[in-house]
Amino acid sequence: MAIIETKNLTKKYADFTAVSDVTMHIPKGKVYGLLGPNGAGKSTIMKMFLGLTNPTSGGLTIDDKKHPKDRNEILKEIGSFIEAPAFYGNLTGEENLDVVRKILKLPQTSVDEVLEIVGLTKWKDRLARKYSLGMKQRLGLASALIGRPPILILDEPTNGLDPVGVHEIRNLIRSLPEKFDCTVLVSSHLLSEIELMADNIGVINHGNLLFEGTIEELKQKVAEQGYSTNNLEDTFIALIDGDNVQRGGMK
Amino acid sequence: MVLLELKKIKRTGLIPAFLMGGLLAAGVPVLNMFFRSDIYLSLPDTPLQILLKSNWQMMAMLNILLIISGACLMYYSEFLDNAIQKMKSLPIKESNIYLWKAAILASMYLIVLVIEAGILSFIISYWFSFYPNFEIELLKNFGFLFLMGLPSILLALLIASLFKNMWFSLGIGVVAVFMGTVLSSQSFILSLFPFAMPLQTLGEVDSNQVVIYIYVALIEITIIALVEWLILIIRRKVE
Repeated sequence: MAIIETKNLTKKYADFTAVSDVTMHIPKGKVYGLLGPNGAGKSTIMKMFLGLTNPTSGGLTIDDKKHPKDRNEILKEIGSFIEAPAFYGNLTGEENLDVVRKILKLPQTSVDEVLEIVGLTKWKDRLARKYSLGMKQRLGLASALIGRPPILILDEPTNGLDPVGVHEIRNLIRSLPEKFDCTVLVSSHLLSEIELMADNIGVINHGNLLFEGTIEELKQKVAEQGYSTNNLEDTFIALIDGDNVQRGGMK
Repeated sequence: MVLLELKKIKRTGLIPAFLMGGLLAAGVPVLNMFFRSDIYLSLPDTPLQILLKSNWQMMAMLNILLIISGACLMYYSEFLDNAIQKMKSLPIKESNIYLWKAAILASMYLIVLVIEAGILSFIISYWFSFYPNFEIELLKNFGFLFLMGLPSILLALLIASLFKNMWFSLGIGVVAVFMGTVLSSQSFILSLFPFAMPLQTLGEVDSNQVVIYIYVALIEITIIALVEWLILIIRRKVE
């Protein structure tokens, strides 16, 4: 059963189409990886899910609810992290999470719990502007995870983390559906990363959804098109290049 | 939720800035009386009106500059590390964030006015003497000044909410204040410009225009809030 569904979702800015007729199905209780090169439209899709920007046409339902009518109900169910960590630099890590906690009307213990999950407990009293890039990233993740929301939308959550941090966060995301009984939509431009986290993937290029299914189904599809499937990164690049050539030779 | 907005301004220096600004503005009549008390003591009017007529233009200008810098600082902390995006993705209305900020800024402005009223009362007790109905006159005058400040608070926040770069909103605000100062003396209509309204005192406004100022202030408050609401809707469509 899909918890998030889109139908012909389109977003246009003047003469530029960021997202074009995207029809997606994100199954409940799974990790769905949205994969695409920079500027493919991943963040725009996620922003539309959060109601941060309105679709030009098409529709989307989240747990049978729709924007803008059910905006508040939808946002109560979603924890999000879009593009880059967003925080108040003049507040400590703990105070930042407390702001989110109060808005979501969560108990005080939820802040400590989430600080522990992302490994920031030791630095909770440090001002967020003094955090390293990796710590800011963890704070952003914490503000998405707080209150154990049933849906998590994470846009490139491992950006700026060191290899150990990447590994930790990747394992955390992988374990979330089981631990928190939630659905995770995670984006990345690295197939190798998505492969390690996601149950289902969607490949997007120039705003078009090129593929939706499992990694095995993706391999099968590119093999049918005559591309190599030995290396998954090559598979992804082949798929994107094939689409670019079809669009008029832009590689 | 107003308390939440108050928490957001922690360590921004906004509260000390308002307290210091209030004391600075209140220092204007103190210095004036200290150096030129002879001139003012011989003027024919109530002591409060004498002090307001001779000092309020400078005091009000400092107050408006405080309002503008306060508004800029409040939105700067939202834009600096993209916190506003997090707020937009939470189940609260962005228009409410604007209104809560307005409530905080209005409260800070009220504190500034209380400081100024306190210092004026001290000056009256020290250089003049208290007179019958002084308290009522003080309340009426500062109540009017508070209301006249509200449109500029809402407009300053509207401008600050438009630009991620604080220097744009600060620059526009400062230019608007100086325009307001110049324009307010040119004609009655121009004195209704939101940044010119706080310069008006009850004693210097014609008695038949007082009600007009009050109505215009209330209309401006409503219009500016509606414009902000529309801007937020349009921004969501084009962003």
